Amino acid sequence: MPLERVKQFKDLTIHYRGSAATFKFYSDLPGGSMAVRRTLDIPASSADHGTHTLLLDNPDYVEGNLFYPWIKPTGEFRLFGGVIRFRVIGVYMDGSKGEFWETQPLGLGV
Amino acid sequence: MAGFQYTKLFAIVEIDVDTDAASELIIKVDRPGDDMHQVLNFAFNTEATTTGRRTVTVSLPGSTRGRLFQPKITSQGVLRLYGMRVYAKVLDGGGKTSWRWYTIPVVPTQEDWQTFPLPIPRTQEGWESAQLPIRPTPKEASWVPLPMDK
Repeated sequence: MPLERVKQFKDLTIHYRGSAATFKFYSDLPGGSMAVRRTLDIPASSADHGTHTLLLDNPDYVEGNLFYPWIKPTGEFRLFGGVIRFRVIGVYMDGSKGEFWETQPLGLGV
Repeated sequence: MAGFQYTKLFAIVEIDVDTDAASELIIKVDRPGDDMHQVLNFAFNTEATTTGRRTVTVSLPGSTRGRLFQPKITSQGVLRLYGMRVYAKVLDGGGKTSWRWYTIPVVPTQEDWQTFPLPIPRTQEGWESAQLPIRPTPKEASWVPLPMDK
């Protein structure tokens, strides 16, 4: 029975000002090694604290135990803050690694 | 395996699941006899019919009964299990003979999303002041000896 608590990532919002940029999101699932799961564009923003939300749930949620974001701007770029939304999956297993889910024999109440 | 539980008749299993590959649901019960034995091996794959989470409903053989019920799920790839329940009724004693759903214990998945701030160094909201490196001008004039030949 797998014990790790895998997360599903929904979106990531950044506050910034500057040029357009390329955003990449890395996670360790599936496969167990850090790899690019999404590549998205960040538009240029002249607002002092411009806000942009990067969707991580299309077509499926990005999943992982570990993650890191990566941003490469085309020019000057000021990053003031950011927040990611996630939730913990109850049971996540990878059958290709021999994982399975099974309970003890259950009496079911009475 | 024998206990004080009453024997139940099992009819339907529902699983709330999201798979990326071919998967199987295996059900074991302890009747007839006392040893746990397999009564169902059901193949399913939600990826083949839809993208994402789906409820899979499986009818058990009509004679599926037992005091104990043991589900197992295997998969050839990634699988997320959100919930499971079984429709059953008590067959002997207990005085509870109506059909009802029994929830199988599955570690719950949060329905709400949590937020996590990224570790980005804070930008100051206020302003600081710093002196510019300009040599101060004396307020009073001062005497300066002129260079003269001796």
